[in-house]
Amino acid sequence: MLETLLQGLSSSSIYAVLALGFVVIYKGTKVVNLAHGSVMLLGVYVISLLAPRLGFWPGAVIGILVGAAGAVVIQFMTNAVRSKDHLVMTIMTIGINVMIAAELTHEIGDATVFTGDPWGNRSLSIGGSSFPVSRLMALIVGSVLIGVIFAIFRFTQFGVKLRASAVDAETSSLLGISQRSVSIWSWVIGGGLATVGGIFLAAFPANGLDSGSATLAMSAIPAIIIGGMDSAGGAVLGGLIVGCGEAVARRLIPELAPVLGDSFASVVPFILMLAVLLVRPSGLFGSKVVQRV
Amino acid sequence: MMARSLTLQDVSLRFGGISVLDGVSFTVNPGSIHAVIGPNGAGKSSCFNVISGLYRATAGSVHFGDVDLCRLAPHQIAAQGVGRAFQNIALAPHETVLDNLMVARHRLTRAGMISTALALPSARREAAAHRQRVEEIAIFVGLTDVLRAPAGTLSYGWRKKVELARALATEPDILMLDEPVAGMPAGEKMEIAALIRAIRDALGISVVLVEHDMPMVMSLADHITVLDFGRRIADGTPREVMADFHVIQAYLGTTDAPADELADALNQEVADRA
Amino acid sequence: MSDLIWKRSGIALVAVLLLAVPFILENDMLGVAIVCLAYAVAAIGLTVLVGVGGQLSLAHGFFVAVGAYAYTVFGSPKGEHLFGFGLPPLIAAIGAVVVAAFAGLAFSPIARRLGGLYLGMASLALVFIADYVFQRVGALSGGSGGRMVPAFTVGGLQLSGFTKHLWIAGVDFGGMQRLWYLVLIVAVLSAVAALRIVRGRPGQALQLMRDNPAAAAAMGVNIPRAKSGVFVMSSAYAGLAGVLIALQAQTVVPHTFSMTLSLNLLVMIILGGLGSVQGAVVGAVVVNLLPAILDKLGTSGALAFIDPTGVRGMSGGLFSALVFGAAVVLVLIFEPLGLAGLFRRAVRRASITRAG
Repeated sequence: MLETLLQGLSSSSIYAVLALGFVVIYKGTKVVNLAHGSVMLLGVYVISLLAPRLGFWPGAVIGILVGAAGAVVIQFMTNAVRSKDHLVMTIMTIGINVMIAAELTHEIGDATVFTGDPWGNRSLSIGGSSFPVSRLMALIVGSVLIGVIFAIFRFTQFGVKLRASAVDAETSSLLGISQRSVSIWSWVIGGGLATVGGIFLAAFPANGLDSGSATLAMSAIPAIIIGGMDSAGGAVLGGLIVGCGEAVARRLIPELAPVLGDSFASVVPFILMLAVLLVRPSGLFGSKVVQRV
Repeated sequence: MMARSLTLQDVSLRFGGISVLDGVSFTVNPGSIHAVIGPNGAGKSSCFNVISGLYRATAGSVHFGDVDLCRLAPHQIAAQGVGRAFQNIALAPHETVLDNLMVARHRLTRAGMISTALALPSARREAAAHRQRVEEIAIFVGLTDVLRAPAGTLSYGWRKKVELARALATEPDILMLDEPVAGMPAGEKMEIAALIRAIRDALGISVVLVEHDMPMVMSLADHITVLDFGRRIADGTPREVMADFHVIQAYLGTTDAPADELADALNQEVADRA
Repeated sequence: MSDLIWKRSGIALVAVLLLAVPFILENDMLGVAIVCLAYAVAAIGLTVLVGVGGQLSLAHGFFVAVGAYAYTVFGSPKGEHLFGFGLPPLIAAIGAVVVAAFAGLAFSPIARRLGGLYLGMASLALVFIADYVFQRVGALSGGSGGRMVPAFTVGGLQLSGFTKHLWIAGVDFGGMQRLWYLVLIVAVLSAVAALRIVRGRPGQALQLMRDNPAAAAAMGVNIPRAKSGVFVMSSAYAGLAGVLIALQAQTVVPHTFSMTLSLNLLVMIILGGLGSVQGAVVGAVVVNLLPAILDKLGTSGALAFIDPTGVRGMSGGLFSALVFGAAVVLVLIFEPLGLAGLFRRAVRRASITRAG
């Protein structure tokens, strides 16, 4: 029971970090970054190249910066759309994703990408069950990051500007809030968060990432839909629901395995997502989308 | 075609804490031109949206004849013969005027995906018959010369005419016009006003319009309802409404036009009509 | 020469070339050409859904898979561990399209309530769930090894798979050659049907629904029903494409129909121009042809940076992915109407210079 809970919490934190990245970008620019997974893989790949030479922490910092920089480049490209239609920009991220994924597939090839994180495959014993240190770190770092993001939203000027622009971009710009800077910084944060999520995804008990791992980030999408795409709190709650739902499903799998199979656990988030979309499309905490016709 | 009245009874509309319409009632008599006027933000467009079924009223009812419109979906309201021309022109710029008008025949035609894909004779006959009818309507509105032109190449005034023609092409019993002459020069306004009169006189269609051009409204409308802050503050013939103290106050309070200028213009229109 | 004569002779030329394809191309490129046309059918369905109807779907590949597997299951005899119904191929094919259409219908309640972005996200769910189902239900999919696809025979004439030798003009007219004509006919008919739909009453209603739902409702368009309708139509097209793909591949494996396929289909219609049937066909041909051509040139050494094995350079597929990703970005920035838009502009400029 405790083990399931801890497992659920730790994978929740990874989902939450990834989901938060999506949400910050969406709040800042109303674009769903479908290239998030590629940005994640890019950052982790850079870490895997640098960490052996510079050590994990310097490598991680640079990798996160590269992820953020890559995200900003994507922002510039989406911003070039003349009509400023958010749906068009979202579709453009699909094209960008194809490009980055192709290049990374070429670079990485069949190899596996390791970050060389300091937690390795050590485990702690908590309440009688063994728990990977890396997952514990995911939980701690994830929670800290979530706290920091919330603090930024509430207490800094940038956070206020971001929230204002999310509610009403036109009025905000009339009030002097630079949409440009809000957009760029939200992508910076999003890209950085993606890389952080990737670091933990690559860590034990997973065995690194490979060229196809970019799609793993897509698993965070149920979290943002369930929580509401423009709600940071929703992203965290969504991450919790998805992570714990998955852990519970995995726990129950041995009983249901003959019928449902092992990979059912990864489908659970999407089934939950469809259910939420049917009942409450804007998510649990998202602002209501007024559909008039 | 039975002559039907459009009746709003105590219609209220709230969005969250904001009251957009508050107990609005009025009746559009069959075959008349009825104007809904008021300062900006008075709730005129919201009124139209409630009638069309785009907004659901929080209280009150809308009846067309004895049909309760509040229970119907927007397309069902259209099927009742309620036509509407929109303020923001909703034409397809790359399609010809004729094709844009043909969309209006949607509720009167039946060809589905399969019969259209197979080009069944029934689908083709239907399209031809309706194309002919649409051309007649285009002639009535004065669009013969531009039928084959892409709608996007026309000037603003012409596009407004196409929008009006399209609403007419749905064969409505009542036509809702949302600011039909906004942004037009005087000459074009008169053309549209004449057209609206012709719609009432020759076609017997009731017309409800939202409009800001006071002189035009005064000379055109048979009956006027005045809204302010979501409430009805006056209702009657143009002469009655103009004399109403509340109306003048509402307008003086929100416009920059000097009081006597406004009063003069109104008096002039009364004189013209007399 | 008048415009009409140019147009007619152009069409005639293209028709002759298309009919001659099996005599021009070798088996491997012929296979690629068949795949191009098969995906063109899917792309046509998707461009009507996304471009004309304004409904974003990231799961089109799923409906292609439904068609492919339904045909296989309907047409194969019942196996020890495999589902099968042993129906004649023509019935199996029609049944497959119907099943795909029903799948679209089943998804439409979700499609009705959502729009734009949310619909795209919901369709993502479909992809992942389908992935799981295909992996899990081995009796359906034959596991990762795949299943054999029954050959298409109509009235005793076999049109796909391995056939007896039949020599025509020096070419062994085998299954692939015959399949080309079948696919060509199906593609042409699908395109004509789609053009009629887009230009006719359904298409006009969808366009207005996309651009201004309030106005569409005022014209009497039943919006929820229109959304369902276009989903059913595009799913049927996808299913039909699935049947053709299965016939060409002769074995169906789940990973042909992954998320990548859905994204590729989107790329095809964006490059071709959202909403344009002709654009969808061109987009499908380009996206499926380029990797094959690049690989051929790469193996022959003509292009130094292309290497199908990925050792000395990128494979044709990866390089094409780079090109197409960049092309999508450029199209969305500069010419949202894609190749169709560019073509229209070029034609207009040509007719202006000719008139002047």
